[in-house]
Amino acid sequence: MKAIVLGVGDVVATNTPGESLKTYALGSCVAVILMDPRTRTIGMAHIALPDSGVNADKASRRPGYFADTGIPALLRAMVDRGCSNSRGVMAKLVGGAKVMDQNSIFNIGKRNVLTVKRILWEHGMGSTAEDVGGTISRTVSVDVESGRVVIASAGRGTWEI
Amino acid sequence: MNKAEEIIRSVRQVPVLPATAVRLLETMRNSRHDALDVTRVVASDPGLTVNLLKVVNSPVFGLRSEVLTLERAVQYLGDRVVIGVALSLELGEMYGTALTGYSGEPGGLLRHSLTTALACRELAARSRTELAGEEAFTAGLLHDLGKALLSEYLRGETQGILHDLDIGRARGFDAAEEQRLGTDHAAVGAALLAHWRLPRRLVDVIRHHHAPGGADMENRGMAYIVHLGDIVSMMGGYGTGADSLQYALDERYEEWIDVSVQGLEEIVLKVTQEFERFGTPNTGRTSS
Repeated sequence: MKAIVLGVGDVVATNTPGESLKTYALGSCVAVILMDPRTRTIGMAHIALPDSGVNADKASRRPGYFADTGIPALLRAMVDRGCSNSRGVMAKLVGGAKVMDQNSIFNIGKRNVLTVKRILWEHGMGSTAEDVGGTISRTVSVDVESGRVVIASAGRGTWEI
Repeated sequence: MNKAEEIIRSVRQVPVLPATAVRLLETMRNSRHDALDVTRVVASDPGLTVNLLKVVNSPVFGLRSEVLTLERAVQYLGDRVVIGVALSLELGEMYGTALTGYSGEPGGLLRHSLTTALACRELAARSRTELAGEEAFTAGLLHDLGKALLSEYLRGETQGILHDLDIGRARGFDAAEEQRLGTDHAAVGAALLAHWRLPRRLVDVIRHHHAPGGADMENRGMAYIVHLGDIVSMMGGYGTGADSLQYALDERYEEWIDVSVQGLEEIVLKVTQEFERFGTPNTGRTSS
C-alpha cells in the first residue's frame, strides 16, 4: 500500500485504490478525516491551530494549518476527486491532546477540536467517530480500500475508530 | 550498588564534549555573536565543516543551488540553524540514539530538542525578567539529553509506566522514572552537563525543567522557559515517544512569562515554520 504522509497543515484527498493517508504524532493538532462512501474518496487535513486570524499570510499559503480555512480546503480537495458535495460524507476526528494540566491557555487541543466541530457544523456535517483529547500523542492512517481509520500511539499499540 | 548509582556512574563514562561543541555553546551564549563568529568556530574543525556542508546540501534542506562554503550556509540558513546542525553533528551519536526505552523513533530526540530550542527562544522574548534568547535556545537544545542515557534502563518498563500514569499512581513520566529507577531524565541530563563542565546555571535549569519551582531563584525564569518550551514541542507532535505529553504543567509559569492565547499560538506557528526550514516536517519518519 502506498502511504501519502501528511505534514502539519497538509490537506490531501484521494480515491486511488491502494493508497492510504497517514499523519504522525498529532499532539494538540487534529486530523480531520472525511470519507465519501459513494465515490470511495477519503481526505485528511492535519490542523495545528483553530483560527487563521493569528496569521492570514500563512493561511493563504497553507490553509490546512487552521481549522477555519482547513476544512473548506479539505472539502474542495474532496470535490476535486469527484465527491459532489458534503452530503453523506462522514467525518472522523483524531488528536487534540494536551499535557497534564487544567490551564485553558495551553489546551490548544481542546480549542482545535471545538473549532473543527463548529466549522463542520456550519457545513452541515458532524463527526461520526472521534478519538480526541487526553494526554496521548496519536499517529493516524486511513486507506481508500477499506476506509478503516487506524490510530497508533507509542507504547500503547494500535486501535480503530 | 542501586539502580540510580549505576546510572550516574554510566554518565561518568560518557566521553568529554568535543572542543568544537564547547566553543559553539560559548559562542551561542554570547548574545552579541554574529554569523562570522559561528563560521570561524566551525571552520576551525575541517571534519565538521565537511559534514556540515554535506548535511546542508542533502535533499531534506531543499536548497535550490549547492552551497559550497560555510559563509553561504550561514547566509542561507541563519547562524542558529547552523549551530544547531553543527552541534547535532558533534553530539550526533547521542541525539541519534533511538530512545527504545521510551518507544521512540530514531531522530526523535533531535527533532524534539530543536523544536524545544526554537520554542524557548520565542518564550524568552516574553519573559517578565530579561533573559537572552540564545541562552534559552541552548538550554532547550540540551534539556533532554538525559533520555539518551536513561533509555537503556527503561527498556521493558514503558507499558508499566503508562499504566501507572493512567491510573494516577505517578504524576508525570519523570515521577514514574524516579519511582522505578530512583532518578529521572532531568537529573541524569544535569549530571551529564556537569560532567561536561558546562555552566552551573545550565545544569540547574536542565535539572529542574519539569519542576522549575525548584531551580535557584536566579535560574528559575530560565527553568520555566525550558519547562514551557518542552511542552510547546510536545503539543506540536515533536515528542520523544511514549512519554510525550505525559508531564504536568506548572502553572506558576505566569509569574515568569507573559503569554496569552494568541501569543502561544504565534509561538506554535513560528516553531513549526522555523523547524520546517530544517527539512520536511516528517524528516526521518518513514511511511509504512
